[in-house]
Amino acid sequence: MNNINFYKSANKPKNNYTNKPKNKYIMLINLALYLALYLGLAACSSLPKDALDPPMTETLKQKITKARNAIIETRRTLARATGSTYVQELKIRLAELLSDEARAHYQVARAREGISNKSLQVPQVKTLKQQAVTLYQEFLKDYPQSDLRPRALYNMGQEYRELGDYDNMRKSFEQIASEHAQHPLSNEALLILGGDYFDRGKLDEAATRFAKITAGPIHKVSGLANYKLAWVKVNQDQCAEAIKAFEQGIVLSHQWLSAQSNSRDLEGSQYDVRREALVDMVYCYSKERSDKGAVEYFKGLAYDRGPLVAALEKLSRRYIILERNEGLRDVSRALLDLGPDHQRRREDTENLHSAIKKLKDYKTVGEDVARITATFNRVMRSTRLTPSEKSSILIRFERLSRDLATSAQASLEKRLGTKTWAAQSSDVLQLEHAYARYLETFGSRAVIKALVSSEQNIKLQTQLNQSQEGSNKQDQADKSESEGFDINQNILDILGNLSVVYSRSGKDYLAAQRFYERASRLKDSEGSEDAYQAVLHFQKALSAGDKTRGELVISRALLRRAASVLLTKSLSKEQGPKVRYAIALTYYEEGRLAKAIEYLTAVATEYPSTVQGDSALMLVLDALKQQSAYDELVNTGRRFLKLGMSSALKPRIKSLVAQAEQLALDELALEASGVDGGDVSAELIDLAQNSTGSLAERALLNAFVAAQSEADFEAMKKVAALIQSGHPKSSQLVGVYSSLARSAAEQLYIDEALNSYKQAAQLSPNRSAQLKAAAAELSYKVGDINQALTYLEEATKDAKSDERIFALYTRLLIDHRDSNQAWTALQKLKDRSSPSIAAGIGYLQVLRKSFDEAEETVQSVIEAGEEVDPYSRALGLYALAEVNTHFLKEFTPGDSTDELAEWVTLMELAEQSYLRVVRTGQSKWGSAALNRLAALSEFTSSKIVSFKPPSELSASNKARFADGFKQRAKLLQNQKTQSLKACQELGLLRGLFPSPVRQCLNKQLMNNAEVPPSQMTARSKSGALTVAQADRSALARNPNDIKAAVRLGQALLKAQEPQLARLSLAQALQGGGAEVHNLYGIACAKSGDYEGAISGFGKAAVSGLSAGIDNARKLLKTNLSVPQINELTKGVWKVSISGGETW
Amino acid sequence: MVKSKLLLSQCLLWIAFLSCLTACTQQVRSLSAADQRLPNEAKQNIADAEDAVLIAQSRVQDAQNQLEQIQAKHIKFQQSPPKLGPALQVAGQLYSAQVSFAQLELEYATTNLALSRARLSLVYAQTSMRYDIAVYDLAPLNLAVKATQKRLLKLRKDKKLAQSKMKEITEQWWTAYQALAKSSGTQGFWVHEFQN
Repeated sequence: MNNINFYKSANKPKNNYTNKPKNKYIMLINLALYLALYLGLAACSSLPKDALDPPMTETLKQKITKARNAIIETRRTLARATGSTYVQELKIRLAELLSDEARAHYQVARAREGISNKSLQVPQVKTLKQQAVTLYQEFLKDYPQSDLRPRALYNMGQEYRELGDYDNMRKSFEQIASEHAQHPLSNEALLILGGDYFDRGKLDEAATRFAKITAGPIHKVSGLANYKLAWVKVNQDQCAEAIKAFEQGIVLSHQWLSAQSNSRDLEGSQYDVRREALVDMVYCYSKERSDKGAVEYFKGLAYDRGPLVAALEKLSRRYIILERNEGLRDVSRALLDLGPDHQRRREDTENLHSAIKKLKDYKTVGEDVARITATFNRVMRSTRLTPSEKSSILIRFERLSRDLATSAQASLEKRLGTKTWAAQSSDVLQLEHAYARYLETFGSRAVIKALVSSEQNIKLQTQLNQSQEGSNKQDQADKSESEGFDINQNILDILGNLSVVYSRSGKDYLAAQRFYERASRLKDSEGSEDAYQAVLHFQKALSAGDKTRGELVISRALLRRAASVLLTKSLSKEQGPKVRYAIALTYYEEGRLAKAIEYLTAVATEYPSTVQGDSALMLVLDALKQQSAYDELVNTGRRFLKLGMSSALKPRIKSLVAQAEQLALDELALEASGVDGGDVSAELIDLAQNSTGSLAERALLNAFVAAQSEADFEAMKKVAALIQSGHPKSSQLVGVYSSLARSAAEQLYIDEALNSYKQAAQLSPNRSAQLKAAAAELSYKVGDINQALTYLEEATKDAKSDERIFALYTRLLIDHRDSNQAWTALQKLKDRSSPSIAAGIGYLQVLRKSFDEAEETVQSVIEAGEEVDPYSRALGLYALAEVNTHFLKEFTPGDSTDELAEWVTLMELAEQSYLRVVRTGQSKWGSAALNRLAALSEFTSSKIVSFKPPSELSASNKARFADGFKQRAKLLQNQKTQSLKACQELGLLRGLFPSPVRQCLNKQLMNNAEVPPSQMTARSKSGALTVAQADRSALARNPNDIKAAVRLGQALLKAQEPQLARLSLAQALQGGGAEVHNLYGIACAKSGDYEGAISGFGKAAVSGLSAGIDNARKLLKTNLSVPQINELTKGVWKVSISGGETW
Repeated sequence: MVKSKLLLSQCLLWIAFLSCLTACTQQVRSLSAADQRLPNEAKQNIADAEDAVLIAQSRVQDAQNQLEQIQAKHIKFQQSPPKLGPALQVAGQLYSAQVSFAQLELEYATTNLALSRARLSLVYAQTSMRYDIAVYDLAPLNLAVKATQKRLLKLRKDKKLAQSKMKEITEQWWTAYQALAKSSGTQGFWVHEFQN
């Protein structure tokens, strides 16, 4: 702020420059100072000048001065050196210096006069040279034996030569050659002499001189000498010799150069005649040698590409002149391969084209066109070409390439015809290659675009020129060349040709690509035929099966594109189905089944009973099968059977449809399995109702299985009824009813179950016995013993009854019928060879006191061993034990030790027999055996003491005998006690209370073998059961569901269905615990099955359930005649679990 | 005193509420199928359940793609209807039915995925409980599985119905197509299918 204030308030500065100067001198001084300053600055700031080179004349003049000084010094040294060893050298050197000075004078004069053709007059040169010559002459005279003579002579010769004194020159050089033939300078002298003779036309002389050089060892001028000799021969018209000389020239030059350390520097020098010889020998070569192998020959001699190209170019011109087309062709090829990009290459292409056309040799037309197009590409890269030049070049090269390729095709067609060509024939491959290269080069859009723009330029330029006076000839030429040139059409033609070639040689994929390309380039309807051919060829290529993955993808995509072009046009009757089928097929082959199905169906629908229609149909069905869409397959198949197809196809389609129906059914059935299966029975029923024959039957069977897996009993019944009504002869009906019966039994639909078993038995005579036995078992479980025995009686009449049925029958008779009834029933079956029947009969025979028969009868039980069921086995062994007991009792030993021993043996046999029964584990017969063993022990204990010792024994033995028997009697008594106790323990400790156990508890011994039968009250209720539906279904699904079984049992007890409750609770006994046993006991008690009830209560009591203990005691006391049970169980049955239901 | 009691009761209520919330939304921690604490059978169960989820996910993706494709075709059909003459209406109905079915498929697949995930949670929870790794309330998990399963079965039935309807319309379409082939030609169909 202060600043601002300051600025505002500041006084204006005074303008000093408005004041007038005090003194004008001061002004002037100032001006001068400024000027000086300016100049100084200018001077300082100017750029330093370049140090320019001195002019050439100055340089040469310096050379003269140097030479002059050297001459003076040499003369002085020479004067001092008289008599010394180096005086000769000095003299030679002096002469050379004079020559050098002369040369320098000459060069000065030349530099001054400029380079021109007229000769120069330089007097100093002559003077100096003559001085040099004089020196040499003196030297030669003075030193005739000097080693430097050759040098002197040679130099002198050179001086004479430069002085124009050729005669003396020759003399000098001849002298060297003759006197010093081995000296290196001799060869150089000979070379000059040879050249001199040659220039004078004395060719033989020249040849002689040159030959001397060539005959000698290799020298730097050897190559040159051969080269010159060759030229002599050329002039002598001895081309063969000339060629040899040229070859030698090349070889020796090369050898000599290779041996030099500074060969690089020497290359291209006068001694290196390799290039010149190679080029110059062309004339003779073309005259003497054949065209064949020319290129290889020159390649063999050339040391570098440059000379080779130069030689070949010359050779090319020779062959043109000589009209030797084979050679011209080969050389042109070589030049195109090797030559640098140059105007001449364009000529070479023309030459090549011309030669090939004249020779009509198209064997390697592919490579030739490749050369032409490669040359074209290189040429076009040049940045110096104008657009019109480029256009012109393009047109020219295009024409050449096209002409060669099409001519080759014409030639091939003439030779091979126009049908089929061998795919791998080299001619065909070459032709394909030629077209391919053409298209690659000229078919690109960039090239066409460049051509079009350059054409426009040509036109523009031509117009401009014409508007001016003196139009350009070149432009006119370009214009006329480009008129009538239509590259697009040319490309189309070539594409067409190539497509045809590929097609003929069976290369469908490539042909198709080119047809497609052609179709793409053509507008609208013009390309239709090509598009169609593309489609056909792609299709053929795809069916060949030898394409790579990439080719397959491309083929299909391009086929679809080509076909889509055609689709927009109206297709002929022949084309329509082919094109549409081809499109659809590509989708099928690619695995895009959804689209394939749609399009193939369209084709099959539109073109029924045609080749394409039938194929499409088969593919549709196959695609649907791959998708496992069986329903759709069936529908499609049926639709097409109605629509129509070839008669040969109909049976196949019908078979496929039938198969699909089965598979659809299986799929539907399989859906039901697994954790998320769901109920598909309704759908299966629906399917069945819409089908006929075995399919409908299978559908219903699967529906039944589905309903069964869902434990839907009503559905099972319904389906079974449908099967019965629809397929009464179905072989599966028996299984259906059996399953229905089992399921009904599981869900406690007893009447339904028995009815189903009955029906099943009626339907299957083979399995009638087993089914009746199953019905009997079910009846037995619900307490209907009569019904059960009726079923079993019927079953046993069947010849197909098995041991299981006999065992069940025997058990029911023995357990629940008196002995007479059992006897009557079993007698009917005595001839059935059943161990179970035998066991039953044996037992009854024992009761009837027919012990001998019994013994015989039970043998089959003993022989059957473990194969007979445990109950029958125990029964049989019990009968046998009774038989043994009887025989024991019947046997009264006499006064004989042996007989007494036999009695003991019989006793032990009887005892063991009872123990065998116990070991079977069967509680009823085991307990009976224990009781009877106790009885036997009582008998034998009293009997044994009644025996007198045999008289044959000594007194002491008698006493011992008596003692022993007394002891034995005690043991037997003990055995009795133990047996009884064991029998009681079955009940007290294991909760098993069959009748013999109860007698044991009462300390009653069974006085005969009979174990009285027990009874049950049959179920009185009937009709449908509605209780606990959920638990029943749960049990049907999982019979091991203990909780459901218990809940169901409880519910049934409440519903006054003790028999059914008993059935349900029986499933839960194993793993159910004390409470379940107790409930089971209650259900049995209410059913009148006291044997079952006491078994339930007993186990519950043994487990410590208070209700079980109470119930067991109550039952035993009140209904089972064990009044002392409380005392007996006191201290044994202890309450560990309170509660439970009381009976 | 009264105030502090009120405060205390409020605090207790909140604690209870939060606990309930936690219990209701119990998070079942995942187990690894390579967990060394587990026997082979348990590992197999876990791996199977996890596989089922992956498979279900893949099916959802497939259903999604299918729906998108069909919807795109339907849109194309609506925007530039092909020249099908009298068959056009049936074609439209067919497309609509296809779209509906595809949507149903997607819903089915999504529900199946939900079921797989629910089962997986249940497997994790059961395995954890069985081998004393963690404690969970299995009841809600079981309920969730059952509920989803029920929904799935219902969707299956819906699918069957939709398929049945589509079958009818498909037959109608091909009948119409056949008539078209005999009368004005099917170029309209093919051009429409292969137009860019």
